[in-house]
Amino acid sequence: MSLSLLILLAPATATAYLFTVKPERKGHIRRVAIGASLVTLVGAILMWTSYDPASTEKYQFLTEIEWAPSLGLALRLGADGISMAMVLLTAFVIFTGTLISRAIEQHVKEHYILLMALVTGVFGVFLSLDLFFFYFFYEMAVIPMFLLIGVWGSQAAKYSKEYATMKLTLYLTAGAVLALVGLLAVYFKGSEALWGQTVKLAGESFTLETGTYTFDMRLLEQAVLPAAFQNAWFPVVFLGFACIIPMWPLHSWSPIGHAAAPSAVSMLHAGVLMKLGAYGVLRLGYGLLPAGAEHWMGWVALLCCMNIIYGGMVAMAQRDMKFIIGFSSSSHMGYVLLGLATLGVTGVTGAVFLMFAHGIMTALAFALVGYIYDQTHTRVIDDWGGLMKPLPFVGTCFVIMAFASAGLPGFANFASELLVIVGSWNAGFELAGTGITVRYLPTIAAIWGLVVTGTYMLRAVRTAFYGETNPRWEGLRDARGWSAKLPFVLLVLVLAYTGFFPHLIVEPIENGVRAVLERVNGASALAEAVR
Amino acid sequence: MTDLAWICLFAPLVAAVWIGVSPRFRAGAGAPRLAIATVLFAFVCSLIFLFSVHEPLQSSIAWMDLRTPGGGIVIELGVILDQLSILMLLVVGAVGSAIFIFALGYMKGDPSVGRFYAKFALFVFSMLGIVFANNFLMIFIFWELVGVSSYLLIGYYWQKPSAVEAGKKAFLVNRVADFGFLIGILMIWQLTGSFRFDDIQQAVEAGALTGTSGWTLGLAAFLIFIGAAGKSAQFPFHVWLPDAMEGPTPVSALMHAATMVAAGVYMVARTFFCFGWTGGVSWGDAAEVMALFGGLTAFLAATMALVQNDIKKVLAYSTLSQLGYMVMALGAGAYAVSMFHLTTHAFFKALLFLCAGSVIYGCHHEQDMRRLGGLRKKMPVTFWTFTVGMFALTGIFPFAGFWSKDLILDALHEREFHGLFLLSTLTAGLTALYMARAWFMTFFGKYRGRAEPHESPRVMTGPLVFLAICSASAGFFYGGAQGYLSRWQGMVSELDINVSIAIVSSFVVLIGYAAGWYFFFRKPEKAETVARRFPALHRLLLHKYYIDDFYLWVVRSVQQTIAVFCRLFEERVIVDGMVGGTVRAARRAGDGLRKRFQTGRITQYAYVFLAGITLLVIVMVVL
Amino acid sequence: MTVGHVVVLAGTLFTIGMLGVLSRRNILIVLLSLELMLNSAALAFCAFGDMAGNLDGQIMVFFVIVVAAAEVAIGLAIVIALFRLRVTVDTDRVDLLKQ
Repeated sequence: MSLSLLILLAPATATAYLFTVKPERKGHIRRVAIGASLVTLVGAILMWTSYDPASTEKYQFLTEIEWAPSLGLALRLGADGISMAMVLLTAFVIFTGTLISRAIEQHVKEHYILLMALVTGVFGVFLSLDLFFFYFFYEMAVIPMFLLIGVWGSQAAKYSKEYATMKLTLYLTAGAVLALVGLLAVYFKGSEALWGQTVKLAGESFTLETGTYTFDMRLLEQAVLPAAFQNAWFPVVFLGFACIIPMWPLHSWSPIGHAAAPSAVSMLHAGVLMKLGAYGVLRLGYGLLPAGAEHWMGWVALLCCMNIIYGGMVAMAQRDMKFIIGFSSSSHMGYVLLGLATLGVTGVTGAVFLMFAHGIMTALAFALVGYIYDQTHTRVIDDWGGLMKPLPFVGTCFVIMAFASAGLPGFANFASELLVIVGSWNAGFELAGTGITVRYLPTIAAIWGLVVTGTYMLRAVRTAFYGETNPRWEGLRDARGWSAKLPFVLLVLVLAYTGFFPHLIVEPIENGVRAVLERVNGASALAEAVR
Repeated sequence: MTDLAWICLFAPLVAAVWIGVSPRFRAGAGAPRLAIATVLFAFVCSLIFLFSVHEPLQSSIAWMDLRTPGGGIVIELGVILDQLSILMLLVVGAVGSAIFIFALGYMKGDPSVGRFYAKFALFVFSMLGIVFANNFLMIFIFWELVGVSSYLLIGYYWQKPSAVEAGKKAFLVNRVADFGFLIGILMIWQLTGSFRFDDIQQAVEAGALTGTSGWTLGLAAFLIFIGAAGKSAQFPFHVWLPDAMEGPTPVSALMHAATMVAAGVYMVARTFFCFGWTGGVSWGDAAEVMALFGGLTAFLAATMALVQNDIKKVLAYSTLSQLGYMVMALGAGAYAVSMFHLTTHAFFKALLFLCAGSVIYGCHHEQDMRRLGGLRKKMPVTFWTFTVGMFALTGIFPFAGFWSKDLILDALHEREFHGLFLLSTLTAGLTALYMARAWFMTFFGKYRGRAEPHESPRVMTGPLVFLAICSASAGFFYGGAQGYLSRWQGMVSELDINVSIAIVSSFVVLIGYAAGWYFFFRKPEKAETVARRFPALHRLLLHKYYIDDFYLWVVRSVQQTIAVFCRLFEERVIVDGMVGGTVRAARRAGDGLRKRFQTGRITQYAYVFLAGITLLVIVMVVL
Repeated sequence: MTVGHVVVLAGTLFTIGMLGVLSRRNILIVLLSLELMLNSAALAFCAFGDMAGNLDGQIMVFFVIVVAAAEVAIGLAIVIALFRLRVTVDTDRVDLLKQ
C-alpha cells in the first residue's frame, strides 16, 4: 500500500467506523478521530521525508485502482512536490483541528464523522491524478463543510450562520460546476488529441486507442491542445477555482464563512480549503491548459493587487477578530495569486510555499481565536483588552502568529513571501488582448501590502492583548498542560522550523513546480502550431 | 574564523530561545547570566577578529536555492569579516556588554526580567546579523528582525498603552521605510544580477551599469537610503525614536542610541559603492540628497531637544541629531569618518543614557527634569560620568566627540557643502545649549522631587565608568581607527583634523555652553521670557514641527477613511450589490416566470405546447 | 380515392380536434376533441399502412385504440373527481397547477 492510499484511507475508515459507534461514547469518538489524523500526519511526514527530488518521475507514491475502464476512470493517486506540501499542510491542520475540537459538546459523533469525511475529500483532491476523482473528492469536501458551519457555527457579526453556510456552499459549488464544465471539455478534447499517440505513462510507453477516453491527468497533461481551445477554456477553469481561492471580487463568501464556522472548521476552511482553489489552478489550469495559462495570467497579476491591498484595507476597518483574519487571508491569497501569475520557478515555488505557510498560520490564528471565544463569547477586539495577563501562553502564541502573518523573518510566511516578491520583480505581466505589459506595479503593491498587514495585525494585538486588563477577563483559563498546549505549540514549531530551514520544503516544491512550468513556458508557441 | 563568526551570530539566538521556552529557566538567575555571556562572547570574538583578521573573509550558505543551470535565484545567508564589520562588532560587543550588565541592576525586582533578557538577546542576534551580513537580502532579513525586537522591547511594559503604542509606531515607521528599502534592493539586484555586496561592487566597478540612466541609479540608491533613514531615524522617519523612550532605559541606551539606530549608517557604509563616490558611474544625486536629509535631521532634532523636559527625550533628540551628522558624512563620501563618529557616539550616547537610567533609578523612576535637580552631590559617580559623556557629545577637546565631529565638519568643508557646513556648526552650538540645559536642570540647583534620591549600586556604576573611560579616550584612536579602516576599501581619502575648523567649532560650542549657563543656571527666569517672546516658535518646537500630528492625521483620517470606505464598498457593493443582486435577480426571474407562464390554465399550456411543436417542425424543416 | 384524400381527411379531423382542445372550456368537450385527434392519427396510420402495403399501420391503430380507451377511462375519472371537488367542468376555473 502506498503512502498516498494510506493517507486517504485513514480518515475514510474513521468516517465509516464512527457511524457504528454509539453517540454517548464521546471520548472514544474523539480518540478515533485523533488517531486517524495522527496516522495521516505520520504518513504525510513520511511522504515529506521520503520524497525523492532526484526522481525522473513527475509523480511519486502512485496507486491505481480500476473503477470504470469503459470511461477511462480509475482511482489514481500520486503526489508531486506540490501535492506533498499540501498534504503535509492538511495533515498538520486536521491533527491540530481534531485536538482543538474538544470544546464541541453537541452531536459529537456527527461532528467528527463530518470532519473526517471533509478531510478525506481534501486529501483526495490533493492526491488524485484522475479528473473525475478530483471533482468527486472536491464535492465530498464541500458538503460536510455546509453542515459543519450550519449546525455547529455561530453568528458572524450581522450575518447568521445559515446565511454564511448557504453562501459558502453556493459559491464553492458554483465554482466547482464552472470548473467541471471546463474539465469535461478538456477530457474530450484532450483524449481525442491523444488518440493513436504514444506517450510516457509511469515510465512506460502507452498508446491511447482511438475512440477511448481517459480521465488520467498524467495522460491529459501530455496532450497539446490548440491555442484557441486553451485560451477559450482556461478562463472557465480558472474562474471556477478563483471562487475558491478566493480572488477579488469573488471573495465575499470567505470571511463570513470563516467567522461563522466553529474553530476546527475555520482552521480547515482557511488553512486548507482555500488552497484547493490555488492547487486546482496549478494542477489543472497550468497542467492541462498551459497555453491558456500563459495567455491569461497577466490579468491575474493586476487583480491580485486588489486582493492584497483591498483585503488589507477592509481588514483594517474590522473589529471582529475572525473577520480581521478572514480578510487578511484574502489579502495573503493575493500573494499566492501573484506568485502563480509570474509563471517563473521562483514565484510559483514561493506561491506554493506560501500556501503551506499561510495554511499553518491561519490555522493557528483560528485555533487561538476559537480558544478565547469559547471563554469570552465575544470576538470583538475592543471587548477584549489586556488578555496577555490572564492568558500569557495563548497571548504569546497569538503575537507569534501576528508576526508570522505580518511577514517577519523566522517564519515560513516571510521566506515564501520573499520568494514571491523576488520572483515577481523581474516578471513582465502581459495583459492579453491589450498588448500592455505590466511590470513592477504588482510587486510594489505586494510590498506595500506588508505595511498594511503589519498595521492591522499590530493594532489587533495591541487592542486585544496589551494595555489594561478588562476586569471581566481576570479569571480566564490559560492553556495548561501538554494536551492543551500541543496544537498551538505544534503549529508554531512548524512555522518556525520551515521558516528557519525553508529549503527542506522548498526543494520538493520546486521540483514539482519545475515540472509543471516546463510545459507552461513556451506553451503558446507550441499550441499555435496545433490545429 | 568564519566558523567563529557563525557561532558568535547564533549564540544569542540560542540563548533567547532557551530562555523563551523554559519557564523555569526564565524565572531563575541563570537567564540574565546566559544572555550576558553571549554578548560578552561577541565582544571577545570582536577582539579576536580585530587582531587576527587582515584580509576580508566570507562564508555563505544557501538558505533557499532555486538555481537552475541557466540562472535562477539563490537566497543566501553569509557572514563577512572585514574591517568594517569587525569595528561594528566591537561597538556592539563592548557597548552591549556594558549595558547588559547595567541592566542587571536597573531591572532588579522586575518579576519578568527573564523575558527582558530573552528579548535583549534576540535583539543582539538580529543586530549581529546586520553586522555580519554579506548580501542585501540577509541584511533585509535581519533589518526586519531588529524591527521586531525593537517592537518587543519598546513595548516591554505592555500594560502601559503608551509603551505599546510607541512600539507599534516604531515598527510601522520602519516598515514604511523598509518598503522603499526592499524596492531599492530589488532594483539593485535587477541592475547587477546579484544580492551579494562583493558581486555588486565588482559589477559596479566593472562598468556593468554604464548605460543605465542616472535617474534609475539615483532612485535605487535613494531607496536604499530610505531603508537606512528608517532605522537611523532620519527626517522624515525620525518620529518613532523619541517615542521609543517608553522602553526600559537600558533598551534606549543599547538600541535607540548606540547600535540599532546606527545600523542604517553601517548599512550605507557597507554599500558605499551604491552612492556615487566610487565606480565612476553617476548614481544621480543620491549622495547629495542623503547629506541634505542628514543636515536637516541634525538641525531640526537639535532645536526640538531644546524644549524637552524628559531627560530621556532630550537624549533621544540628541541621538537623532548625531545620526544626522553621520548621515551627512556619508553623503559627503566620508564613510570612514562616519563610522568613526558612529563608534564614538555609541560610547558616549550609551554612557549618557545609562547615566539617565541611573538618575531615573536613583530618583524612583522620575524622568521629568523639572522634578529633578541638585543631584551632583547625591549621585557623584553618575554626575561625573554624565559630565564626561556631555563633553564628549558636545565635542570639547580632547573628548571623543571632538575628533569625530570635527572630522565630519572637515569632510563637509572639503566637499564644499557650505550650507551644510554652516548648519552643522550651528547645530554644534545648539547641542551644547541643550546639553547644558539638561545638565544644569538635573544636577544643579535644588532637588525638586519628592522621594529621596540615592546613588546607584556598583553593578550600574561600573559600566558607567567603563563607558566614560571609552568616551574620554576614544578620540585619541582616531589615527588608529583611520589606519585600521584604511585597509577597508570603502575608505576614500584620509582626513586630518583641520585646526582652524576645530577652533571655530569649539568657539561655537563654548558660546552654546555660556548661553546654557546663563539661561538655565544663572537666570532661569530669562529662559521663560525668551519662550514668551517667541510664542509661535516655542509652540512649533513643543509640537515637534507638527510632523507627528501630520502623520497622526494621515493615519487617523486618510488611512482610516480609506479603510472604512473599503469596508463599506465590501458590504454595500460586493455583498449587498453583487452577491445580493445575484440573489435578487434569481428570485425576480423565478417570480416572473411563475407569473407569466405558470398560470395553471390548461388551455394556455396547450397553446405553448403547440407553439413549441410548430417551432420544432419549422426548425427541422428549415435545417 | 387515393392516400392523399384520406390524409387530408385525417388532417382536417386533427385540426378540428386541436381547435376544440384549445378553444373549448368545457372539459368534456376537450376530452372529446382529444379523442378526435387520436382517431385522426389512427386514420392516417391506416392510410400510410395501405400505401406501404403492410400491416404495420393497422397494428399501430390497435395500440392507439387501447391507449385512447385507457386515456378516456383515466380522463373521465379525473373529470368526475374534479367535478366532485370543484362543482365545475370549466377549465379556466381550475388552475391548481399554478401553485
